[in-house]
Amino acid sequence: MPDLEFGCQIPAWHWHWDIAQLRDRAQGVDAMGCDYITMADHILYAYESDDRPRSGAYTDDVHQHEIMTMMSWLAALTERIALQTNVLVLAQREPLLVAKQAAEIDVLSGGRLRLGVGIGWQWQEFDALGVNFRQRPSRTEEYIRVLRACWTEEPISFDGRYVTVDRMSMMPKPVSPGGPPILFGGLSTAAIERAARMGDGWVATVHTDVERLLPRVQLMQDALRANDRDLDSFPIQWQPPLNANAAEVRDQMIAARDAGVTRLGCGMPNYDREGVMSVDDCLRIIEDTRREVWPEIIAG
Amino acid sequence: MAQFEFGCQIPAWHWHWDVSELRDWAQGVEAIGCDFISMADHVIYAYEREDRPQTGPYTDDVHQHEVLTTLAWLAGQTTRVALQTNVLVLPQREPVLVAKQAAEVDILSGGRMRLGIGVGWQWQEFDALSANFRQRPSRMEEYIRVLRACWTEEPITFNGRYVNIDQMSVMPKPVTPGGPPILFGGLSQPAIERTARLGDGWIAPVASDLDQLAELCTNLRAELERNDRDPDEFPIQWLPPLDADMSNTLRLLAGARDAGITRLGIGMPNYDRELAIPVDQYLQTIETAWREVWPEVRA
Repeated sequence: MPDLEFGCQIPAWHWHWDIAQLRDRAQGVDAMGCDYITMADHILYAYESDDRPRSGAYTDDVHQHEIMTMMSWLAALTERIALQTNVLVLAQREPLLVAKQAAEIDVLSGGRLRLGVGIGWQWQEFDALGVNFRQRPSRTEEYIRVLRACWTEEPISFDGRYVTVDRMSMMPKPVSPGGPPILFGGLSTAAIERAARMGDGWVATVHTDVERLLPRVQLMQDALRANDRDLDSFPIQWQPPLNANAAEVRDQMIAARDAGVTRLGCGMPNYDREGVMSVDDCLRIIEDTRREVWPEIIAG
Repeated sequence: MAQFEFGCQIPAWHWHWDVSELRDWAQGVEAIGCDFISMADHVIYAYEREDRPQTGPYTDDVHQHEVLTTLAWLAGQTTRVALQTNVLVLPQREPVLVAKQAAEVDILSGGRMRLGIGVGWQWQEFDALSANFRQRPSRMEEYIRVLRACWTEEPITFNGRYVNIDQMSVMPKPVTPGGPPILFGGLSQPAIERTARLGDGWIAPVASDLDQLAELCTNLRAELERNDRDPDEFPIQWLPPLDADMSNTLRLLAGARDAGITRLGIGMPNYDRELAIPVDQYLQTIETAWREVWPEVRA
């Protein structure tokens, strides 16, 4: 079994935290000894309109920080904690630039980047970025191969359906051998199957409750076996929402751990501006969870 | 008169500095009192081959740090110095992402971001990034309008030849009112005209000599006046190469000042790995220029 890890989701969008709050929160969990910090990604959001109903958990009032520059800034302000995109919508970005920026963050952080990737759902965002929404499964798969080529080959040549690179150079290479681990998000069967074939790990969507999670973990494990992958070296991540009720969190984490989830911790409590918490309150709940719940989870 | 400023170019690519060297250099420059740090941009480089001769000063041995993530990291390593791309190749990137990332660096740095942009020259890089090399002048113009729309409008609607945005949101907005200043590189006549129409400042090529600079500045001032803009309020930047000979540094900076340049300082000394110098030595020369030459130039 992979090592158990404790991670936290940073409120990068709906709580309108300023940069001092984001810094204090990140440094707080770093100092506490948490293993990794995660952060969501979007470049633009669709306003709701008559012909365009609101989709997803997002309101018109989202202040989403840009994920790659934010991770880089956090690399400067933290010492030890791993920095994870959760998840970067890979297919809507140009993949060589993703490879270059991810490698840079890995270099600047001393090998602490983890690249969580997802397929995306907001077609209006793809439209605004000039990217074909329907091609996102095939683009995601090809782009994964582009990332790994950029991180490991020199010179780089790549002959794909969407990307062609003819003996080019991208240096410096990442610090992490082979490049940052690529963790796949998504609960769909297609996403799970893709994670089993190409992923260095799987991230279950934060919004999922534990009852819905457990059968998907089972499916993930079946897919890994079908692809001759070693379950013991494949991290599975899911963080229950930040919750001051330690008994509830304990039950959720035990159920998830027993099912095979190895990366746990504290996710976001809600997607509502009404429920905004102070940095101190957040850090206190995380600390309580680590003190009251986590030892029991690790003990097995 | 635009304010005098002293800036320095970070060795982002050819000297293979490691992370601690980059940090020590940036923090050292800030401690000396410099006003801005500038940094070059490329995403990918072309290897030389038989059917593709070497272009530019670049060898196969370039370690180019990515400019926007490095500036975001430097925002966390420094507190006061302005952070400038010098120059970002705008038409080869998707412009809404450039707007979003530049806004983020501006936010993370408390309003210290300056976006220097250029049209680029390395067609192989455009090819690899699936960007159209021949369209780069028209893309440049449109993308600048996209950047400013993303930085100032909410909701954002944009109907261009290349970019279409239908009532979308990009928040938070930059800290700097109107967004980071956009400084234009380039010395061709179209580049000068574009700068005078759309720019918040101009970056003169490092390789220029004083006679060239004077001519270029005269040309730019005329173009600014044609666009009803005040040349005296328009920042022009030129960083001559690092030179331990202070009398030569004084000659260059004073000559550039006389040509109308207000943002001066120290550029990269060379493009050769063999000639790389340690951080301490680079900082020492910058400090000497700051202490011995700069007061005389700005007086």
